[in-house]
Amino acid sequence: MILAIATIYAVPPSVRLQGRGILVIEQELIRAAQSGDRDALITLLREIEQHVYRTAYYILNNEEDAHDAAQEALIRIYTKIGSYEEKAQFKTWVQRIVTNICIDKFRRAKPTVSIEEHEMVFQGRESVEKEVMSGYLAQDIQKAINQLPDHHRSVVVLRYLQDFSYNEIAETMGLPLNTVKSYLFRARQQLQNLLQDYQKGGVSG
Amino acid sequence: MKCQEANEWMNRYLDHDLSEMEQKQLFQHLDSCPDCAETFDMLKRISGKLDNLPDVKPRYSLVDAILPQLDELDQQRKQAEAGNEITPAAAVMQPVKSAAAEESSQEGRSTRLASARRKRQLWIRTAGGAAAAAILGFCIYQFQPKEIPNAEPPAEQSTASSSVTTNAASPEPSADSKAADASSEPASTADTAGSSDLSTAGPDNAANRQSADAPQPTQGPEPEPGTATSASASSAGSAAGSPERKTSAGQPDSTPAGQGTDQPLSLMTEPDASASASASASGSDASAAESDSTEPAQTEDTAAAPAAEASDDEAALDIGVQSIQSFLPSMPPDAKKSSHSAMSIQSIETEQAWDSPNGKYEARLENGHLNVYLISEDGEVKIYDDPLTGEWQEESASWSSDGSVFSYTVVENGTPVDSAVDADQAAAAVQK
Repeated sequence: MILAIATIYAVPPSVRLQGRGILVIEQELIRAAQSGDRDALITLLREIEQHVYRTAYYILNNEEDAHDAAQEALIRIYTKIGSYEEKAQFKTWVQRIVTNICIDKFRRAKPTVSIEEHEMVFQGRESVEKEVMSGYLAQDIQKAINQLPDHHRSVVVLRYLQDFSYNEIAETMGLPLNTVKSYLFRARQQLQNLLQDYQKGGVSG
Repeated sequence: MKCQEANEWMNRYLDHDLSEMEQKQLFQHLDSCPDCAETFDMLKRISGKLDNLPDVKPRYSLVDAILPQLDELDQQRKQAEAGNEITPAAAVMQPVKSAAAEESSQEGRSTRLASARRKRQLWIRTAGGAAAAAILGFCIYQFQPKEIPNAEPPAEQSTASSSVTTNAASPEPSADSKAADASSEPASTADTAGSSDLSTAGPDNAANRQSADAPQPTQGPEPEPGTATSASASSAGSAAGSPERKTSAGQPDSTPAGQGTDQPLSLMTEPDASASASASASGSDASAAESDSTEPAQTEDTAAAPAAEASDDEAALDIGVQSIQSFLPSMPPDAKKSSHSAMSIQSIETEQAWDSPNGKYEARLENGHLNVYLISEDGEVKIYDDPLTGEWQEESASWSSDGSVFSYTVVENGTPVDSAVDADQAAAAVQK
């Protein structure tokens, strides 16, 4: 059986940043997997493995947990492939599984900063310039993401690490579109504030 | 444009959600509003950072890492399939372990709080009736002789509940040791509950069907006991006050989905087979003990070969069987014959027999079943019953020299399947 797998980019190259593609797997491969073709199913898992891991890594901010969660997600996908219905996009179905696992099973007691706390805090010009000068460190932004509440973090991860649209995020998380937007917009503001806190504190990482 | 609206549009711009027209409007506003322009700069910067987050890759191939687990799942699925008559396509769709089971086992692992534990046990009790009913239902279907391409009963299950207990306890020692412990107790209460269920359920199979539906695994973390309120399930639940009940209660959520989904059908289509239900009811505690062991295939096997424990409580069984008979006059004689030794009304055709060297047991090939009897002055008690599904290999059948283990082989779909009956253990379980 010939299985065609195509990787395409969902957004035009002009707006696509960093070339993070969204994998579109031929329906045929999924159907073959659903009808009991084990090789197809394994191929499918290999295709999505990195996407699954990436989400897990950025939601959990920990390599070991991410490996565990991603493996569990893959196993779940393996056993539940039959329950996937084509009315949903395969990639959102996959991401729903992995985000749920990450949120449900790896929820840690860790401090998350209340979104409200930092709401509507406008920075003065001075701090903005300071930012520009020093720039953020990559670990700062990861640290900041990790401080977001679970759902905000998941929305950010789906938007930026999976290049998902509002609709796709809504489908993945089972949230209304407006909630997705509001989470994402608040998360940006929140990240901004957190990063500025790090800058002010003078200690990063 | 108001600044608040502008803020939303900035965000939408970053998400490529603005039309050209909207973009123009937004930029017009930004030209005239320095505050918003500043905010926009910040947002763009943060969005750029997020866009530039390093891609990460797993250190090793995750799929390769889980392949052994997947193979194992396939194995279990295969066995379940053999016992379940599921088409290959359906089998793939059958979650080997329900989501609910995963959730709850996870819950058991992570929450060590006493209260959580208590809640869980309470739940186990209430949901137990549902589980028992479901497994009962499954057994009803399973127990029909001759027609079932039954999974071979692996030795460990065919012996006794005590060995099953160890088996179940090991994969999840912390979470379920208690429930597993309890499973070594005789399941007489469970049996009674099981049989009374059926007699109260009456000839209307709808009640049975309903209860079989109840514990069907759902996505939710808990199959809520509310669904278990059908006639038979609730009566089983109320009879479940005793600690033993917990055993058969087990964790209904881990009932393999295949089982859950198949039952309603089988109950609808095979009402006559109910006669054997109580005989196989005690299979439920073995499978319940298995519940968290992530080996649902075995669970099904156990249910399929329940006879080792079936005679746990002959009296209860008898009542159950009779009451069933009374409302199932159309029961085929064949089903009666094979359902249990308690129903030895009919002559059983013994094709072959093997006495154990110590004279305590006798294994017999009867009507396509491999039965093992405990021979004593009071007569004989069946301690094991395997409805053989493969081709009997006569030369393979033998007792161990000490007379405690009977080994035999059947060839199923070209594959030899070895079984061993630990008669001592099986007898001990029966006599409890």
